Amino acid sequence: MRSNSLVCKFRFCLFCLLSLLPLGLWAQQKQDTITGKVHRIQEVTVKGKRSPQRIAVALPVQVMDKKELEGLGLQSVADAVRRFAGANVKDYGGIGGLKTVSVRNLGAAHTAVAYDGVAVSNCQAGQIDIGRFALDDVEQLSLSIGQDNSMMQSARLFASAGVLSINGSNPLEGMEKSYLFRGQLKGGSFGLINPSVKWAQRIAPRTAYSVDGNFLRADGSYPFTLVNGKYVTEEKRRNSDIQSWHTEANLYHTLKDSSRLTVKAYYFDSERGLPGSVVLYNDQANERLWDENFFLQARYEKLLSRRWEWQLQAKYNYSRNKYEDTDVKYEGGRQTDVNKQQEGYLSGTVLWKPFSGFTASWANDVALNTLDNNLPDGPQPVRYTWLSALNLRYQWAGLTATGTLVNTFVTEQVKQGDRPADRKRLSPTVSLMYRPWESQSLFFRLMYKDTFRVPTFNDLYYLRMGNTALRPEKAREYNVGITWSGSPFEFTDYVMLTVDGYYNEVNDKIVAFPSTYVWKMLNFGKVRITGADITLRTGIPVGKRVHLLATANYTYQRAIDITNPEAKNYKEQVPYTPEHSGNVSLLAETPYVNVGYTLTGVSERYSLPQNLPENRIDGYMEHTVSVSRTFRLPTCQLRLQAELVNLTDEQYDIIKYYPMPGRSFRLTGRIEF
Amino acid sequence: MKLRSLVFGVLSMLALSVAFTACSDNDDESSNDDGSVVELPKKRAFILNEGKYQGNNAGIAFYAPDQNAKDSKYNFITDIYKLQNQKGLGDSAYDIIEHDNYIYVVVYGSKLLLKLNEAGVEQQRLSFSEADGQPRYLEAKDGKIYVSLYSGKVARVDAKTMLIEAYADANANPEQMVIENNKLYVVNSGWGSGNTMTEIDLTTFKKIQDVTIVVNPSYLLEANDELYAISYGAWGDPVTSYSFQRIYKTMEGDKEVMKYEVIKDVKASIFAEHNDIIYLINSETNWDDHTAVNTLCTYNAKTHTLNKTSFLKDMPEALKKSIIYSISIDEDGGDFYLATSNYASGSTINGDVYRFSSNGTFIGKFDCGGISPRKILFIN
Repeated sequence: MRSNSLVCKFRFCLFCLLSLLPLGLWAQQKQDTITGKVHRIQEVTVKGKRSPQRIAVALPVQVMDKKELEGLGLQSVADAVRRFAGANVKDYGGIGGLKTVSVRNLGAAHTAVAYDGVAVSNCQAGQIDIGRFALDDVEQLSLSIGQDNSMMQSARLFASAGVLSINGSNPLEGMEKSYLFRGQLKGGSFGLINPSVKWAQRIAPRTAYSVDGNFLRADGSYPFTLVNGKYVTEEKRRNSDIQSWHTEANLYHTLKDSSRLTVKAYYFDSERGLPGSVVLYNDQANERLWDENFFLQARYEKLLSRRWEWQLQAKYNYSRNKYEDTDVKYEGGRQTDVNKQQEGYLSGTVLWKPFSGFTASWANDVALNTLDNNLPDGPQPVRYTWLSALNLRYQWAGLTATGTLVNTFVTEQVKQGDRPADRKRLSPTVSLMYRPWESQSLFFRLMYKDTFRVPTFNDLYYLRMGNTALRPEKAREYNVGITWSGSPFEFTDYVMLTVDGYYNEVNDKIVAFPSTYVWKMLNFGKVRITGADITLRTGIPVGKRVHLLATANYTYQRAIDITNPEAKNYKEQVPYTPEHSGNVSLLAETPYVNVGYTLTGVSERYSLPQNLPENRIDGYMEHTVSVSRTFRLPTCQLRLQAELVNLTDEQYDIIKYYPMPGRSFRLTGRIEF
Repeated sequence: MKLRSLVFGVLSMLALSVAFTACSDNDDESSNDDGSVVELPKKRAFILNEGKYQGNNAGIAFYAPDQNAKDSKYNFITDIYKLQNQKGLGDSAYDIIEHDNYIYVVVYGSKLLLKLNEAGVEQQRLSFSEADGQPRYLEAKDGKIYVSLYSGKVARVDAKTMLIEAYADANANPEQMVIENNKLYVVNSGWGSGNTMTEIDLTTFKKIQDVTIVVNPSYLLEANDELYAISYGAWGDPVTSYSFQRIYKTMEGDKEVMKYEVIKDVKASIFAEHNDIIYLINSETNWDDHTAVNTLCTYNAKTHTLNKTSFLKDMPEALKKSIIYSISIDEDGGDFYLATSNYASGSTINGDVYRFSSNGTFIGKFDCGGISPRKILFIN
């Protein structure tokens, strides 16, 4: 027993020690020493926040860390996410435009977004606007297909078809000093001004806090080229201004028993114009949106013993949005919609490793969600959700098998009108990973996942359109893949390659269905998606002082509508799905400046279900270049960065008639001490 | 010399007269096709496709009812407006009419009134202001075009100058109009809560009165000198939904007033009139099996009798299950054209036109070239 305890303590001390190592620590990975070289491995950057494995995982995951996020000059979380293979980002253009992510075309509502490990929810619309998360504080961004490979997470994250994890970090982690100030000013095209400050302080040996403030304003009035038949005109986006304020306070505390507590208070407030779709011959745009969001979340993680771990999460969320449109067609010349959502959320996960090779975890989440709005006869629904996820993992020789079973129970109360029936469902996930040779970092993987999305409050209750008889929308994912890392060439530090083929099905899609006059939400539609994701990542030393990080990914996707064999769009590519898309990024670190370059290419898509020439949206290639340098002064550190976005001034739409900005620049100055 | 002069003079006169004659002939036959890049047959049908809201894909498809275009590929043109004008019609087209050999079109989202020649070549356009609001429907009389505007007004536009001359007040969200006996009648949907029809005097261009009808009226037509309207009704109310009503004049004491009566035993989502017979279609979605249920019948405006027998003999199965979005009748021959709004998962897609002879026999079906066909305009 004592010896076990000592081993435990030793491992724990080792964990803490590793946690304190600097973020950019270079490490060696045993499996990569086979060629006798010492390689610089990006993958196992050892630090307090666990860096997701990319290769030795059964479920595909892609990661971008701060160095790439900053160095490549990426503009936002959405801009970064669209560079992941298999991610479909819908971007309505501009800083204030809605941006949502969907994994392998399953729909945004099937993709969970986790902010510092806690799921972000939006029971009203179902999809999360990832445009509101500032990239500045993001330490790491990861996109997991199916679910995250970690077994220590909330049930909500096991219940989705994919997870986008946005993680920040304790800015003092791995630092000896007891405080940190970071002041940053960004400015750029279209009236962008974005000052932000961060203050972090260690107030006790195991306790630190940080406070952030981030203000952003932009008039967003960017020029674009409008092609209307043979007529080509230069236009400007109207009513696309945005002003937002984001404040965050974080508390990081390690208790005496080495358990960790993190508490985050978040406040976001914004007002923006909604430029809407470009309408030919009419540039009227008067829609405005006000958003307010506050949440308080806490996460407690404890390593009880070598065999037991558990974590607890709690969150309270309040969000309010007000939409207003001014037009003579409304009574009184104005329409105003106000929606308020509240959420109380508790999650507990326990992890058990009874013997070598076997791990089990059990996660339970309970959530209470409410919606109030100013619509007449609003039902003011209250939703109670209980999610329970049981996970088992067994590792034997080179084989790792994981199984997850999520039980969902949702019940609702309404003040008036019909209430939907209670929903209960079991969703299984099975994955296998096989490493045939211990000496080779080569893995084969298989995954099957069955998920569904519960209808949103809008689907169920939206004025006149809502339908409380809706069934959940179901999704099935199958994945088969090979991952490999090694050092096949003298000139590379390492090469990582992942190749995955997949097949997905979405049934009972929840859509608005027409009648002559009214539309109603219904379960209608079936989509079959086949595709392949390939990712490549390599580090190339150029001389002694220059290092090149190159990444590339490619996605092939064929997503066809198989709802009705008699329909005109039967087996045609569903809207906004390019058959080919890809991204290449290069990040060169030199003693003088760091240079980042990224290229995104997307093939043609269709804006409507019929693949007619008039519905076609041209493909595009977008290039972005970034140059940065950090000056290390005696008392502080100064970082300057310049970015040229959309270098070739490519005119393109992600969503038809929501033009994306052309060439633009951004300058950033940051001081830190 | 004199003779030569005389002969020359006579020849000149003859030449001039021939030239004038030629000019005159030319005017009669093709002057209103000026600028056309295609040769169209005399008998023409223009299908106004509404398009998807904010999709900028409204269009006008051309169809030759006699299939007699010189070049057979022009028997159907997906978007003749785009072909002739090399640009898109805009966002959400709502109404199309012909007046004095010109075609007029309103485009709701783009807030436009367009004047086209009979080949679809644009002649002039009028953009409505933010204060005018979106245009909805058209009527015309004596060189004036009347446009119902969502600002609650009806604009009178001079057909030659295409300028707004005057406004008359209606109520909130005026929709379809009818001109009858120098009066203009317009129903007001009031964004779903209106329940009036406004009577406007065309001489003074002022409102005379509001007449109460069933809530949420959208369509209006004239038959046998009386008015008939369709109201969508109050939200979720099966009693008022899809009400077909007759609006008539009667005496209250010594005062003439207008009243309405809901025609019993019939619901209608669209209608059309030909020779004082009103052809009614009620197209409602069966939410359980995702198909439409279509009920067809006729109403005789002379005898005020309802005939619940379908006016079509052999409806194809696909039509029976489709949302019938509009019905248009070719005055020349009385053929029926029923146009459907088709739907794929998540979005509307190109509709179809089903053509029937005047006796209700199915003639044929074709893709209408766009989304949500609102109306077919026939020109002979």
